[in-house]
Amino acid sequence: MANMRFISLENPTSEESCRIIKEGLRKKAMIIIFSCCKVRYYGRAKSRLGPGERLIIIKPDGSFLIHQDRKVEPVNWQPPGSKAKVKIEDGKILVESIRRKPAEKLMVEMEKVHTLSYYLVKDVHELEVAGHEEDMRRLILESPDIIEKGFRPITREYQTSNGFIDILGKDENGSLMVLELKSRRAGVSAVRQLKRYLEDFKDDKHGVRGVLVAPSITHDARELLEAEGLEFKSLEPPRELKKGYKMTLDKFISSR
Amino acid sequence: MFKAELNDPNILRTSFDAISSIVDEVQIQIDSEGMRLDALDRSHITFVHLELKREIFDEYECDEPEKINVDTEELMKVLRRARAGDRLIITSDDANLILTFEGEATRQFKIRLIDIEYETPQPPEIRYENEFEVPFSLLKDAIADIDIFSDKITFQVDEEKFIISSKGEFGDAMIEYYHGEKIKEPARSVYSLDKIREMLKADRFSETATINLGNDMPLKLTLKMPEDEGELSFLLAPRLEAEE
Repeated sequence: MANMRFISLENPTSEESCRIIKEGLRKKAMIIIFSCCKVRYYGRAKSRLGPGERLIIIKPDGSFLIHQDRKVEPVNWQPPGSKAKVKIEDGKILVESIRRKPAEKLMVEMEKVHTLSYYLVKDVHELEVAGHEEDMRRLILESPDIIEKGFRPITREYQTSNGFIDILGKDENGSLMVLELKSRRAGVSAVRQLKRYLEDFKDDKHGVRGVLVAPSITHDARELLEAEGLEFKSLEPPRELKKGYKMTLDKFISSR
Repeated sequence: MFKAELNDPNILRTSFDAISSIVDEVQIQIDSEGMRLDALDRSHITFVHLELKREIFDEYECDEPEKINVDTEELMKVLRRARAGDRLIITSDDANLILTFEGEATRQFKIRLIDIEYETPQPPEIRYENEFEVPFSLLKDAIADIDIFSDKITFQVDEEKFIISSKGEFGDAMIEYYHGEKIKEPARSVYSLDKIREMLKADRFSETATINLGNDMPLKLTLKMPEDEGELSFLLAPRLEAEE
């Protein structure tokens, strides 16, 4: 990792910039440009952005991002799989990123490039995240007793006419239990969602219980829940990252 | 300059069915012996090796060794256009890999070459105690069986049987096969089902697969043509259970 290869230029001429961007694109490098530019886009909509100093990132997978000096999200962007091209027109650098389906085109006209670099990046790992509803689901399926003693899951993602139930199971007495999971404080909409799922089971003679599982519940939601005869079970989503990991081939491979 | 002709482009197509789902780009090395490629996927989990000796080709000329870097998806798109009975002629110029299908009409495709700055990986050499053969179709079916309950697949071998299994939240699956071969020591490793599925896309290369298996070791799966004139092999990193 220490010997990552990159090229970096300060105040390059238009010709130099064009050559280096072209080279970076061909080598599938990560290209980073700071420049004064104008942006136009057309495709699903149409947009125009007047001249200003902006950060442009072109990733090896075709992602194309233009950032202003504010906000997290880019002001203009193209998704992975887009193809970028560069040329000089009237002394200005014109970079285009084109997507064929749906047809979308992003055009950046650079007045002046301040810095330009490309990097041949090595980055093999994917982000691992915990704390989502999927992690709660896994926890419940592994240890059903945390819902209540005797709870047995039957299936997950059970389809009703009103959508998919997170976990369907039975309690100690054989009554059906419908679990709706939320990884954050549950509101009124979560209660309504649970109520809709139960409609499919209203003819079940053993009775059916609806349980909202979340770390906490809002005051309004609790009132509605109690009025509807539903239950609440407090459960924090687990925050440990997954056990069991992918091993890479790195220790078996040497580079030529 | 090189030129290679294939009466049946299927061998190339089935190889790239798997290769293009594993790696985005490859370097094809061509010399007087034939063609070969070695590639490692972006996440460094699968290594793929393809070797097509000159005997496979109906005509083969190569004056000097060449290295051709190509986007596998673009190549695959072209290979999918092969029609039954087409003859395939492969050549190149400075900027393109050129594929010509000769059938009712002559159809020529030029695929732009790319620069790969990455060093081509060496095929890893791993010593295995065990080697056995299984029908390719058995592996292909096992994938569908395992897929019912899990996204992980366990390969296990002992003196008698080769066992493919999985444990899921809602059920387990197990496939047993009597291999009838000499196994030195029992072995077991777990792999990602998706990664195995990618490898097995090459379903018209060979009717049998040779497997090398160790304990928590990479899986080596080798597909060989009957006369040894071609080989497609994969190495897949195992998934390990973390220590408590």
